[in-house]
Amino acid sequence: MSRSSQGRRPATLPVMCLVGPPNVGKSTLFNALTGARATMGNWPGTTVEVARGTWRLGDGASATLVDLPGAYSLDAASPDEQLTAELVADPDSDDAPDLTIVAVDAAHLSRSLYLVAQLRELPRRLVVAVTMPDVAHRRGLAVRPAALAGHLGVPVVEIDPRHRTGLAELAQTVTAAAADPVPPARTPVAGIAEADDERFAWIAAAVAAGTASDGQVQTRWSDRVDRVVLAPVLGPLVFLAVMWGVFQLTTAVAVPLQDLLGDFFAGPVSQGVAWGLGGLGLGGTWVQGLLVDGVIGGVGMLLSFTPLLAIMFALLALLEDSGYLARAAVLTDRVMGLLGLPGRAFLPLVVGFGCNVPAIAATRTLATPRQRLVTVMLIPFTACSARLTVFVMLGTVFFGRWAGTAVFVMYVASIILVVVAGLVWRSALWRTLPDEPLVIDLPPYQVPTLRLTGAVAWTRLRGFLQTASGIIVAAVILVWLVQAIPVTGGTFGHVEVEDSLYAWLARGVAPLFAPAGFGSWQTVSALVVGFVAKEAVISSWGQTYAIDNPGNIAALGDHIQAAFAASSGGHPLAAVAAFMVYLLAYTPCVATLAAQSREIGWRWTGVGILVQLATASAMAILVFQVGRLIV
Amino acid sequence: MKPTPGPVWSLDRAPVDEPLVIAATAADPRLAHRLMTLGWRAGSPVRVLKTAAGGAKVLDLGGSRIAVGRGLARTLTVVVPR
Repeated sequence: MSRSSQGRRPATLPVMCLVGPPNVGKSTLFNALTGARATMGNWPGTTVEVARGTWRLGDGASATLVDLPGAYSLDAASPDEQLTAELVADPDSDDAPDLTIVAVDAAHLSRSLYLVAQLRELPRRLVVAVTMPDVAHRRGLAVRPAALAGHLGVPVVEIDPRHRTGLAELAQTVTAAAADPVPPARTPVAGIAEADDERFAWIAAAVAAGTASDGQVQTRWSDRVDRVVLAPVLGPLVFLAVMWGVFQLTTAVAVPLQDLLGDFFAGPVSQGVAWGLGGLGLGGTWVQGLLVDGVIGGVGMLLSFTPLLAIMFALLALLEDSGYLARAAVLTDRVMGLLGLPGRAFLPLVVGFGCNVPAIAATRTLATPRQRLVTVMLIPFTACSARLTVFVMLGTVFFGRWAGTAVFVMYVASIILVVVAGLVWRSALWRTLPDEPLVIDLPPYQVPTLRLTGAVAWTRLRGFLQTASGIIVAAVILVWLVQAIPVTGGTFGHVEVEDSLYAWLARGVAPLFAPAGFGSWQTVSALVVGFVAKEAVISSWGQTYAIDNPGNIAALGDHIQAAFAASSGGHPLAAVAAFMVYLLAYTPCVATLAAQSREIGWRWTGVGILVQLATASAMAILVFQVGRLIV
Repeated sequence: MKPTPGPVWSLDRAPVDEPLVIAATAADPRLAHRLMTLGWRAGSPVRVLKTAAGGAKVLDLGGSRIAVGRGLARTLTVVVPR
């Protein structure tokens, strides 16, 4: 693994790393300390996501705080843990922090202290932050920071990041510890052969010295909730209800907002720019076309995704913060295990049926890069709602009262594609790797905090917009450009669709689709536009057939039926079925590709595109060739 | 391993809501280490709280709640202390 020194902030601020086991409130603490000054991105040279932020320590002093992935120990079991171990434990690392803060859970101190035990065997500046004192208190446990610090040999601060208490004390302690010389490493107690046994004995002594218990064992309300949420019949029902809620919110609530933003850019913004250009004497020129149809169209499309992603990220943060996501992973583990994926992969796949873009972003909750890669490759096969609009339109035009059935069949086909592709990816690429057995920590349920949910959602949304915006805007401008270049008539920016480079290219490619029954340039060019945005397939036909209002299904339908009848040699139903299958499986929209490249890199995104084009072509040809024998 | 009397159960068949003692861990060292950091060590107390939908076992391990998949639960053993 090669990493540049970009991993550290270029500024001269001291670098502090935040480490700790999963579910101890580490990210909550990070958000509380850095607020909105955080950025999230992959550590250079790795696919491991790391958050960085500036922590204002007081008295004008600041530090760069790096939130490293959760790790139970320094013995790396995953790339995430490996990065944490290398950064904080490797003596030769250029990226070693000036100080490491270890977050430990007051309610599960003995388990949390294993990492501290390992780190104390190295000469490192450490500060232990004891989180979740409220949960421990409800269980009759109290931590005595001074006594614990005495045993551990490093400063200990009790904090509650959810309620923002103890943060100032942590800043003071960290400032003091950073100024002190590096403390010597702990010498393991002699006489115990196994390092682990020695560490656990040391931990047990620390817990005994540093905690007090009132001896009362209370029934936990988390256990009572789990009795329902994990129950054999009720559990899956609750899970389906939660998934339905996520699906509804990402589509039913976000889509009107998406339309509103889309209309705003297509209406007032475009008109305003056109008016302004008119004033400059550029009205009706190619400059207006470039700005209005290219740049504003691209930016408008990018921003129209923003509410969808914001809702998705907020829901994910809510599910994670509440503790439910871990339960959902338990419930779906067996089903997803058939595809070699953990239970957590279920949620992104469900969200994919709403929109692929936030679904790909949702794969961030998966633990390993391999799991993320497979899930990201499968998501484009889920029939998003944009494809649904085209299916409904074609179903209505070609299948009449059977339109609903036609759309349903496409959904079933989508699920089959996901399962088959999952099995193929698994057997082709990772058959040598064993299944990962389910071992998961179930954190106590807690009421999510709005501030945390908002901070996490905003950081992730900003990360997406920063990386995906350029690609999306560039793709929209490119499509405008090929539509603006004249080939058989007109001038640049003033050209009929059929005379443009766009139609010329489509005519060139169209014969390739003849075996699938839809080898006409009008149909093929719609697929090109569908690459930019699937829902634009219909408006593209409207443009091609010069229908002013593409919502006028009857007028548009006649043209489309005629085109399919002509290109299929009199088998329009077989051809349209093949087209629908192709639309389901071929390359996803450019926003999805941008999201994919962010998660898995361009190489794997490219592999995915090729596999999807091959799958879509093979299926479409099969459907048409078999279909034309029947209808 | 501490001497622990009583019958040995594989975790997937162990009695629910009874105090148990961990007898053996996973054969795979990587998995054994992961379990250990979660508190699964021979001689430590454990309690099976319930069997979740899908067959995973929900355990009380040193006060934490840990879910262990059915396949893995078959390979882990516990004893009922007398």
